[in-house]
Amino acid sequence: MSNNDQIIKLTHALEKLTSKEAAIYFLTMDTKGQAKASVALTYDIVKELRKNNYNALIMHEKNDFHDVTTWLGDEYKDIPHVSIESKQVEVILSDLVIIPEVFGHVLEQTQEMPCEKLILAQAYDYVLETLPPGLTWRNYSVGTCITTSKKQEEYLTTLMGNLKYYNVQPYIKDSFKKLQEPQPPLISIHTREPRDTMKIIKSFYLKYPQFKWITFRDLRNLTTKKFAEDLSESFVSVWVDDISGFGTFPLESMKCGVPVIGKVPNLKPEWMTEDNGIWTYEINQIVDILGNFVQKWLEDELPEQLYADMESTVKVYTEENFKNSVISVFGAINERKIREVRMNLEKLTPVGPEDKTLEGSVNELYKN
Amino acid sequence: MKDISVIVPLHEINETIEEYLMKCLQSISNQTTKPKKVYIVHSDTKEFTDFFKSWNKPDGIDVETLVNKDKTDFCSQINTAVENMETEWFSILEVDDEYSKNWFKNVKNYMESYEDVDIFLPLVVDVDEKQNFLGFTNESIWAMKFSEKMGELDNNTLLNYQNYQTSGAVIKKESFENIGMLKPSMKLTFIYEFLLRATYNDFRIMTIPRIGYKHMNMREKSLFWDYKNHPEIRIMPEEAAFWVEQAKKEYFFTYDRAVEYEN
Repeated sequence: MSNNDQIIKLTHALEKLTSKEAAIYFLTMDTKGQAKASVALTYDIVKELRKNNYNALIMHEKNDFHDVTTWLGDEYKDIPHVSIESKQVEVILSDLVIIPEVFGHVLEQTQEMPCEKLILAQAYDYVLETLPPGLTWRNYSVGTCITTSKKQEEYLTTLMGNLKYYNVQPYIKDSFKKLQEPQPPLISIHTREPRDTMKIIKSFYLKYPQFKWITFRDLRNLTTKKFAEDLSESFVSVWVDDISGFGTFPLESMKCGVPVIGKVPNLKPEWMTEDNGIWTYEINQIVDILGNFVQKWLEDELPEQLYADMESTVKVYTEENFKNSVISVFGAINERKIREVRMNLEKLTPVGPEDKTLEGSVNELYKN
Repeated sequence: MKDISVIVPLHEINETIEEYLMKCLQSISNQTTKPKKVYIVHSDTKEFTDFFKSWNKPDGIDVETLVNKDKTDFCSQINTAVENMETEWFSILEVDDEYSKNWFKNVKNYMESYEDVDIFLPLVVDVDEKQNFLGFTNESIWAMKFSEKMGELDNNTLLNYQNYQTSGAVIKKESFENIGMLKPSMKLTFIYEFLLRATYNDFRIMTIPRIGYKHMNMREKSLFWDYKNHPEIRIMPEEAAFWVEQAKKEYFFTYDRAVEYEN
């Protein structure tokens, strides 16, 4: 490629970046119509970026991608989607492709893409799943990773210290709210492994037959709206997710004013304290803790402080803070990309552009 | 809080009952939200007159004694007290039972959220004379798909399940009077018949899913203990079945029709 060609390309990229027209593709898995917190967060980021005039889009592998609005809600219906299979996506230098950690297998295929790739790591436990031994994302020309908590960042830094990390702080939606009426005797349960749910329910009824009239609700495979409604209609929730990266469910529960009995995940969430829930390292203790909690709730003997601590824990996870972190992270990335393109342009045009036809636009951009 | 009176019907007085009485009244004194008035209903026998002349009223509650001269059965005592009270709501406390300390506080919370409920049933803990836990009562309507609406008692459910407890319940006086109060002639199943009649008359009956009442089950010499064990008034299974069937026939009628069991 001649210098002029490169200058044209870089100038074009600079224009796209400064005007925020550069595409930001979020490679997204097909949820097949099932609710998935990590995908919901991706859509929230895209929505927020679009609101701030960034050209963010959802990118998916196959043409027959299931519409997420069935479980996530109509407010996401205007987000544009592109399919890789359609072969109509033309990625250019100024674009950004965001790859979720579970899509590690595409890193090799995307290596030749002319644009920058970034990793969005929401589930730290999956990051090595698709990487060959000894390799890091850096080997696939990925130098930046966005995570959802400081804890994940700390962990990932121990594995791949040579990357730049950013944090986007998830938020707990306002659809999670306290029930206006007193809470009914329902227990919500959310475990990563379905067999854990059944094990806990069956053990509970065997150990505490006097509480057989109390109903469990498995919150799997619900729309976001129904999920929030069911959760708020509980007086306690149970959470088991060893490989949780952030711990959205307990925070949603706290926002509903529903205390959580949970197993401490392998990566202890940064919001978790001794007082904002009932936490254990032993899954087999959960049933007895729950039995004791139920008795105390029925006797109306639970400490008010627990509810106060829950409220103060969750209050920082606001939509406002999420929006600020998204704009701050992507603003910083965009700025950095602009700087890089300018530097490359400067290298190619140490004394200014040779081609007079380019002069106007390049000079104008340099002024910015 | 909407005013509530507590009715304590008394059928006998002796040292043991006195001890129970003081304990049950203490459970009213200990309430975090107290009812307005307590009515102790008793007959006009000398034992009662003597006892109430010199008894130590518990502190912190307004207690009034009411003499029920004629019919001294449980239902008549309750009806008498209801006729005499001025509060909008009432609750029945059996002398050998106790409220849990937050019961009326919880009732208040539920009254604010469910304004059209006529009867708030407590989650009852049944214990034996040694205070051993035997089980819960009124809890079943919170079980999934048990009643038509979770947490609420309805007529269809009652036709299949009879074991519900109104002692400790908080009942709207006006609704209670409108449907004819308790029927003394429904010997064994007066509570069951009352609940059938209440649901037939579209009462909204809800169990507050918090332990509100501790009920001593089958205390020796209590009415239901006598029905089971006393050689003279023992009720045999055929008679028990009769009273259940009778309740199902009588609940359509507002007032007591003096039903009798003929052997």
